[in-house]
Amino acid sequence: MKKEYKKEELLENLPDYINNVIYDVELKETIRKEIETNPDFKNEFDLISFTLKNVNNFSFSEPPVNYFTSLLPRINDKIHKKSETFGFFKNLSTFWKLAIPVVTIIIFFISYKTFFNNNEFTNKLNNSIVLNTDTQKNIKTNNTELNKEEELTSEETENMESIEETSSKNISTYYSRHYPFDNKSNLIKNDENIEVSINFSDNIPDEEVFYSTEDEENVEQEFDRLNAEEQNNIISKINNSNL
Amino acid sequence: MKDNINILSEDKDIIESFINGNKNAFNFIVLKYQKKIYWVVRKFVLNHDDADDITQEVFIKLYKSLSNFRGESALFTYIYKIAVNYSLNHIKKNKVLSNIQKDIDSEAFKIKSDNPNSDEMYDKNVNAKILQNAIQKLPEQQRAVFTLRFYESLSYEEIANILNTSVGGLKANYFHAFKKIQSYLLEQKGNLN
Repeated sequence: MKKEYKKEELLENLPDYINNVIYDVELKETIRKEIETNPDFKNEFDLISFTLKNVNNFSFSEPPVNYFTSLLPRINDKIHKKSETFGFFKNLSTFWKLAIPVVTIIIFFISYKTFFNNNEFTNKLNNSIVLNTDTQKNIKTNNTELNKEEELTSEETENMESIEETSSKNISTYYSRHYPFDNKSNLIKNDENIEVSINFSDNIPDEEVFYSTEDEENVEQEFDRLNAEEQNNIISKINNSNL
Repeated sequence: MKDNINILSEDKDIIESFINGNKNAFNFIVLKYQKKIYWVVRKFVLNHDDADDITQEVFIKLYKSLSNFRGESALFTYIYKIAVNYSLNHIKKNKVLSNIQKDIDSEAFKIKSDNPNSDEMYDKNVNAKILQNAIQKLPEQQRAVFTLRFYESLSYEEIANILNTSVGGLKANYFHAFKKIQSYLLEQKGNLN
């Protein structure tokens, strides 16, 4: 049975036909007949033949003399060099196998430490903020206390005034009792001196400065226990002090 | 293990010897195929220096991969595959067309000055340059088929195996390669003798 060939199929086989490398006898015969009968196909055949002639005329220049003799040693050299490079990289890879976990751990440790220090710093900062807040609170408290103290001081001042009044009264009573001749102007002076004596005697406990009625009585008793000379001395001192 | 191998030994014996640790067996493969590989590469890249570099790279690649060679195809097909792939990659990377044009020009002028009376020699070189340019202009697949079929006289089945393609389109590629070369040659007809 004769095989039917398409025109494209015959055209595609033209180069092999011209080069005489078609071994299918039937195909070869069909192409030959097509060239004889079909002018277009004949034209294609001529053009391909022209091309092949030109291609066949072209020949590559020979490589340098002894090129193939020296090729094997050069290939072996390159293989050897690449093996060395590969060996280096292999060692390098071994190094990295060890280095990467170590570096990772170090980085992790540094990060952890940094994070921890930051936390510590943050805590310290928070604490200092808390401390500052506390300090501010304390300051406020202190201020409040100071205010209270001031209030207290004012109260104390009032108390002092009352005590002073009492004291001056006591003294005047004392003087009126023991020195009925003493006048009121002296008592006013005495009041001023008492204030002065109070200012100078900060270290002296209040009870030693401010006398209550009971103290006054004790003082009187003590005074009574003194002999006459001592009593006179005290009286003279008091007089000298302008009390 | 066969240690008494030589360049005439069968490929499978040389490979077996190499796999068994005889690194010298590789030298027999190089000696056996170096010319074939050089020329197939040279016909792809056209330039000797490039062909030299690629040929060496092909054998270095073979040395590295020979231990994994399973013998599913013939050794020469395997080496051809490497050579064709390296050549096509080189063409893609280096825009060989412009480089080769420079090389050819310098060679042509050299010939003319060496042989000032040799007009025929000069004309031959001009023709060669035009043809080289025509080949350079071929698309990758057509160029590969043209080189392997026309210069290496490989069967379409072998070419299909090397290029990892089906036989179907190879004849068409071959024909269209010729048509393109033909068109270029006709364009340059004024320069041809």
